[in-house]
Amino acid sequence: MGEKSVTELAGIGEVLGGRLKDHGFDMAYVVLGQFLVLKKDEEMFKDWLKETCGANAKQQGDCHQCLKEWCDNFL
Amino acid sequence: MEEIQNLTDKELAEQLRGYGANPGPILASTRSVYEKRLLKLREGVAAVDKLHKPRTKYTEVPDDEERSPPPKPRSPRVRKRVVKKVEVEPEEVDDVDNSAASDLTDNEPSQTSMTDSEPSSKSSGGVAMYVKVFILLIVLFFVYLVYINMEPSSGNRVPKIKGD
Repeated sequence: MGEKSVTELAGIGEVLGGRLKDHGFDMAYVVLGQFLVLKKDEEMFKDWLKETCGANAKQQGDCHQCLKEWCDNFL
Repeated sequence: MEEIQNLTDKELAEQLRGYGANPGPILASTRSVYEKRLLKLREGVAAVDKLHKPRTKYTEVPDDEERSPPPKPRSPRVRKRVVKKVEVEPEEVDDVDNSAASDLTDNEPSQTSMTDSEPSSKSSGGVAMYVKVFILLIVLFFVYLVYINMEPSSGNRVPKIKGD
């Protein structure tokens, strides 16, 4: 994950990435941090994503799946 | 909901645990979602699904990876003109394309250019029909020549040109 931007996450494009950056989530690892702080709870994370950047169901799912897989492999 | 918002972080966490949830740290970034979770647990999932979906101040946007919508199709007027011009000689195809392209910006000049580019064509389609049939015959003649030459037994029956 390194220093990848938040837009490198699945489901997060330029528009959503910009909104996340406005909230201070400018790097992928910061969103990962939020995912971990929410105890990797799928529903909580999706709710948070929806609230923070207005992601739709598909985008929520993609982002969650992306982070979940990363955690399963590397955490 | 106001009551929930007035809870301290600790109290919120305790209430969530009371409902069997296992909340993570209640931080500025997580508080909002945990408040909603508590509301959901209090009122029951079915009721909440009706009344209260995750609120967001943002409008949903399509996935950035999704293709942008296809370019707006050309105005129907262009199509009608093209359809009408099918009857006209094939030589005028170029003119149609040019006038069709310019139609995107302005209708008036393209119409005039259409009329300007057809000095020889009459208003009726009768004259154009003869030319069309003539060209068709030429094409059929060439097709006939090809066909003749394709048959293995016939040999070369293309009429010879003198001076070869």
